[in-house]
Amino acid sequence: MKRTLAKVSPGVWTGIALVLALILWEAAAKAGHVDLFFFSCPSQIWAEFLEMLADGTMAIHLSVTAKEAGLGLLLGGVLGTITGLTLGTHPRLSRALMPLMTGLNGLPKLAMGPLIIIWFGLGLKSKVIMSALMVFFIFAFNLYSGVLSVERELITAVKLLGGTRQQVMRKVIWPASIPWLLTSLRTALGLSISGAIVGEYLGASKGMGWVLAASSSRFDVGRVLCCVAVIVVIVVLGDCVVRLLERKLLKWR
Amino acid sequence: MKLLELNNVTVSFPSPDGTMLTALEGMNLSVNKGELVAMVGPSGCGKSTALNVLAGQVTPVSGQVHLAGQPVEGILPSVGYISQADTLLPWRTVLDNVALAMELRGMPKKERREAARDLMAKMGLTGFENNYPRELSGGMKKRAAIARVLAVDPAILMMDEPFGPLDALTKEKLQDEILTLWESTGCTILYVTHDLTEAIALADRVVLVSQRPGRVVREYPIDLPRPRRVMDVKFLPRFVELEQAIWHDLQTELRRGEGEP
Ligand SMILES: Nc1ncnc2c1ncn2[C@@H]1O[C@H](COP(=O)(O)OP(=O)(O)OP(=O)(O)O)[C@@H](O)[C@H]1O
Ligand SMILES: [Mg+2]
Repeated sequence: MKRTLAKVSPGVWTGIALVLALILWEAAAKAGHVDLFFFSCPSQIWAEFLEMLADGTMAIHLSVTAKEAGLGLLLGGVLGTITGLTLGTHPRLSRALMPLMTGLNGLPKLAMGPLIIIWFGLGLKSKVIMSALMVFFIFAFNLYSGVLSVERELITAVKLLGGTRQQVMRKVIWPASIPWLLTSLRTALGLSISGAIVGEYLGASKGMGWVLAASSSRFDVGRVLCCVAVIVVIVVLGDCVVRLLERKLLKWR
Repeated sequence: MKLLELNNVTVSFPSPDGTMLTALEGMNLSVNKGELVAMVGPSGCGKSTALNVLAGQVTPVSGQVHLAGQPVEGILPSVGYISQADTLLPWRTVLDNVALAMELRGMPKKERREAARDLMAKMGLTGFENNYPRELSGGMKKRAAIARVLAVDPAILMMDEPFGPLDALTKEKLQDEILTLWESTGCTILYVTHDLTEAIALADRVVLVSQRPGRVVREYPIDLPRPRRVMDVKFLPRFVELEQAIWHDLQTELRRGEGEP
């Protein structure tokens, strides 16, 4: 019995715990122990979800946020990766720029939100930049460490086999950095969405962040929780995709 | 014909305390085409440094380095270097590792894979084409590393204690394979080792390097019959004689090192 229990994957346990909590919550609400106005309940949230799905609000706002976060992740990811790789391969440049990078990373990025709205307006641009800003440093620092951790011997060996600087970059440093890139991607996924949502929260007319802001000002807790749940599910699904990618790309480990 | 030549070569490295550490001082060494030379000497005496100079990886402070009559400036593609460390790229299959040098030279995929398959067969690695290095034993990794440098038909093979960490049996098998390879291709090999038995069993000539700063103390021509198998030669009376002579000189060299302040 004990052995069969141990074989069950931890994901299943998480699922069971979650379902139990939801049932408990629902039961407490039905029994009148939970103030529905403040805390809502699973069935209400589900109804809210179906309604938003049916009247198209979910599709509209989710696609806006997804687009912003996706573009932000792409922009921040690409720029961060290039920055990390460049700093990693240029010791003198990194000695000059690393303190600056560390300092900039120390800035409270969420607090930059209002400024970014002022600079880049209420539209798509400010959200993409907000989201890119959230993830840029993750990629930059991870890839930088990645390059530094490449075994010297591998680089030397490839040079001795006739590899040029560029070939060393393409055939040693880049493949050795892929694990770091994927780790960054997993961390950045949630943050890119947070960035977009904060941007929307601060000034927008659509997107999940806007729905969150609007419904919480109406004390529509059901809708707020519904949006939160949808975002969580999306982040978890995204994480699963990256994990699959990891399994496929890193099977050499 | 002299293929490789170190002429009065001195190499020094900056050491952490700010002074210079002289690794090689006035080293003279030449290797003829088709010769198998083994280099032995105390740990830290500069054997790897000598190889690095010959491979164009380390620039000497003074002295001349020549390969096939040409001065060595920078890394040469005609040198096949096998280091002590395991340097197969872990994210590549064995086949793609063996094909690497050809890939760097721009050979098309189909051709280089075919050539790599042949090399793998030659090194007894058939069946492991699609495995990753971590799935190979230490001995197989070394075979793959050898196959990888053979791919570009190097003018000289330089091996730095290639079989150091392997068990005795695997080691002997690989040593025999090196002998077969050398006998069948007539390539030139410069072989660094800690292991005196290995040096004598393989080489035409053993070169003894002094304590740091390294220079050549003495050279011993190895007049054992060819073709050799390690197992057959290592019990010959002549072998034991040579081993004793070199061992004696090596001990003297080691004591000289300890005697110094
Ligand atoms: N790149 C380098 N920078 C600084 N010092 C070095 C460098 N390479 C070698 N040395 C020093 O030069 C000396 C000779 O080193 P080398 O690696 O050539 O010795 P070795 O004979 O190969 O030793 P072993 O048999 O233990 O491998 C050592 O004292 C080492 O610390
Ligand atoms: Mg060495």
